[in-house]
Amino acid sequence: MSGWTKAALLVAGMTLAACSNNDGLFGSGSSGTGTGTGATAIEPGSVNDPTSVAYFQQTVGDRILFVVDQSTLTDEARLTLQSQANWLMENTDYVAVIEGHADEQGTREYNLALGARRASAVKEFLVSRGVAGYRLNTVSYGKERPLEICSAEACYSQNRRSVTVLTAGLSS
Amino acid sequence: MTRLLITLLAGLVMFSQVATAQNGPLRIEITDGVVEPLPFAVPNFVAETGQASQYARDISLLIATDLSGTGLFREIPAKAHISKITNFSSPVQYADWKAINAQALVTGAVSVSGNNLEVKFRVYDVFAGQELGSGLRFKGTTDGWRRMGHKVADEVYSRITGEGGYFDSRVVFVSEMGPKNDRKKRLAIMDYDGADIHYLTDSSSIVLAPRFSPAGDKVLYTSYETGFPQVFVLDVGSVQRRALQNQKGTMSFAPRFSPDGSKVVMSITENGNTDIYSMAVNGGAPKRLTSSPAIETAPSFSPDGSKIVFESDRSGTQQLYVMSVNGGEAKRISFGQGRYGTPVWSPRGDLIAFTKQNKGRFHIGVMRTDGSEERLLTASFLDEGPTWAPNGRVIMFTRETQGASGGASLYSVDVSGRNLKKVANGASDPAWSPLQK
Amino acid sequence: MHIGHYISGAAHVGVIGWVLLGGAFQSEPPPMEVAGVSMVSTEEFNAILNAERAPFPETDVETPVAPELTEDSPALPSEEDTPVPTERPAETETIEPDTSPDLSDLTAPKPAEVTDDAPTLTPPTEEMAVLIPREIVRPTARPTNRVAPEPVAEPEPDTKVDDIVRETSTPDESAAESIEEPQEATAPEAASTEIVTEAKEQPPLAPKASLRPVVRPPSQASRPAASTPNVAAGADAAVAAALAEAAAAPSGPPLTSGEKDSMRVAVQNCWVVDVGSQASNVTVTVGFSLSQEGKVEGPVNLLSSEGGDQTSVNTAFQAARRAILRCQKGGYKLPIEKYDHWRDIEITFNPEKMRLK
Repeated sequence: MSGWTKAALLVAGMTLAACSNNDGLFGSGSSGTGTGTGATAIEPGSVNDPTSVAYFQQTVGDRILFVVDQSTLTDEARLTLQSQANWLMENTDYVAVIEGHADEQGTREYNLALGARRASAVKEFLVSRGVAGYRLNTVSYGKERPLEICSAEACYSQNRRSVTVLTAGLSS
Repeated sequence: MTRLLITLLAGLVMFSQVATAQNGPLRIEITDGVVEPLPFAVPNFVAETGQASQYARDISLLIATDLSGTGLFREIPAKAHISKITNFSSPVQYADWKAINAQALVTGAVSVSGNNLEVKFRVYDVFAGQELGSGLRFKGTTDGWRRMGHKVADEVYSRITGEGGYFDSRVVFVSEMGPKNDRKKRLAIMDYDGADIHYLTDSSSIVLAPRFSPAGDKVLYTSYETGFPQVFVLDVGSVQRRALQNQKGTMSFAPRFSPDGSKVVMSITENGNTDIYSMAVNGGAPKRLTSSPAIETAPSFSPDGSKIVFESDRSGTQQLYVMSVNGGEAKRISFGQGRYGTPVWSPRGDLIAFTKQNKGRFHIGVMRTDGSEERLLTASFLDEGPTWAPNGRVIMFTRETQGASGGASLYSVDVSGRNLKKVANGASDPAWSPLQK
Repeated sequence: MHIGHYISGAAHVGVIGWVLLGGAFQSEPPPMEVAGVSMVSTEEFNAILNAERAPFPETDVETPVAPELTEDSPALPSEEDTPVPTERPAETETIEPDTSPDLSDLTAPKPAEVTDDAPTLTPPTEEMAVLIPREIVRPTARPTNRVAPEPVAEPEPDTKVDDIVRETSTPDESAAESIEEPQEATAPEAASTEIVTEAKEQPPLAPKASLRPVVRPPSQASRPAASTPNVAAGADAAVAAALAEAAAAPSGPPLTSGEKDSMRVAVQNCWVVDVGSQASNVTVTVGFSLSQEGKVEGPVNLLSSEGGDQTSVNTAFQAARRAILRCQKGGYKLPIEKYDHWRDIEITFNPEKMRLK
């Protein structure tokens, strides 16, 4: 949080910053946590910048939640995804990896496949709303990367998610 | 009339007493028995050379531990022994061992010269007063004393139970460290009893569900090292690895070798749809075996290589199906309540082990290959991923405990449901090797 | 093998570490040689055995190692035996210090490498005790290590559950070795009537099946016809019964069903069935003869079998033979005046019911 004011000055450099922001993407798969990763601390103030990754994560909303064992999109999820689609079409420098996740109540292989279904459902929706398919990749983490770690529905519901993780891929 | 009968009978009785003075045997049918560990004794192996005494002690102890660990045998402690075995060639005092109810007796001797270790042993059926099989001798190096002990134990097990052993085997698994939301995973390998652990990968990327080749020299597993889950094959000796399948935009996982080791079946996910494919270990294009919009995964070959059992949610929930190795129509075999996943065909070919989810609990169970005679062996918050001991007698699996501080451990259970025990902490996804050569 | 070095290296160096590990696996022990061990010949063995036995005043040493013993188990050949000089090698003296008293405690070997190598992985020792189920009241099917025909409650905490003690301290081996007569000094090991897997033990608070009576009435089939009181018998039935009795009664009255049952119970309490094994698919019938003292005379022979391959049949036979030989103790308790009725015995061991427990 100490970089708040400084960050405001760096708004112009956002594209560059976002690039380094996503360096660890593939290796860690943890970018969906929003608050926890060190990477996002780089530009905490950028929430105010509508073209920033932080804005996408927090204001647009980078994640949607799913019902148990389902990959169909809820109405709430569709609203969020519509905003994501709009943002992506305005910020065409970014590509995204859509992560699909499952809660821990399921076998490992099935949950991997279920996560893939979820990610794919999100991708299809975004494509249907005009985002170019080549800008979107999907990956499933199954139950390997829970966000919340309690063994109760309160946590499970947060873990059954898909997270749209941005990376400034096209410009580089 | 009555009088006549009685007279007649009296005659018959007298006749029969003469005629059948040696009458037929008493016939008894027994259908009830006892299920309990068979008491055995392994007196310290005789040290035949000066340096051999420590090995003799360790090897006898290892053999006793192996046998006791099956739950099928119970060791009679040395302090109860009446006889001591001081010479491997001396006749056994059966009466002394009967007196302490040792039903099986294992004697042996160990000699060491330089780095060479020699172990010989005999097994006796005490109450029958005879040797089971004949004496055997293993030669190896002092380094390999544990394996030699396991080999002796396998022989003993085999002579008493009539079935192959599993002590000289290894388990490849995923070693886990750290909290649930940042868990570090590495491939590791150990002896079946948890000894002698080696790591095969680092923890920089998630690794999942390793599987041994039939020869035990290679391991298939799923790794995220490219950012996406992908099947790799790793040589256990050299630790060299390569991606098996690398089609852009897809993920692959849940691999397993064919019984001859030439092929791999696995799941490949494309556009969110997961199907089962088969491909040669050495490369080539994957051949698609299933093609429904359902999730089809966790394939496992029958030991004769003709069939594949797998899970699919094509009916709406996860269930087990059997199909030919070439794909085609699949027959559903699971019909109980709940969901069924991760089927594994037993090496004997008679059973399929699986994970079952029902009413918020997880079970490891077995069923016949046609789905009949389902038996659940365990129950917990989360059990999954059974793997068979090489003799098809024991199942090892992952048990994850509940809550924020929950962790994964390996457990094993006898196929009868007895002898449930923990094998290792901080570990998941075990796969049992074949018996080592 | 300097595994510890490799491992710690791996932990610190990370990606590079595992590459180095390759070397660890090349130091596999060289392939082991396997060879037969030379043996004392059977004759020599018997001679020595008999000679050595003489000084022992034990009461149950009587079972001589009869040569026939080998006949009934063709699959366990002792032909490989070759005579071996029986002189004692001098080194054997050095063994004595080996027999330290506490060695045989049943703790798992914990070689140092295990803990060294993997701080996160503890070696296997824990039993299922960790997994205490939540409910308290379980009237029958408690998970015990033993499954027996009749349920046996847990012994008092300080009662020694020990076959050994039971055997030596009960010279009066009531043939039934009856678990329903717990006046013995040591209690029999607790047993349930079914195999209680973890899956089974969870929900049922009420017994699924009621306990069987302690001594079950014998089935009609196994009961001698004459001992069945046949109230509604017509003349024909009376004749048949009388004939049956006559045929089965060469000397003295036939065994009562109770007497026959006690024999059955005596043997079944020693019949250990390995329910997960292939041998548990095999039914064997064995025959043997008893002396007037109720002790097995001569070999126990396999008469017939059903199911399983040769190896399983053999294993099933061995288990049956052990049951008969082990439970005879000082001799099966059968009425001497009816000796002719029980001199020759055939027992069929059918594990089918056991498999389903």
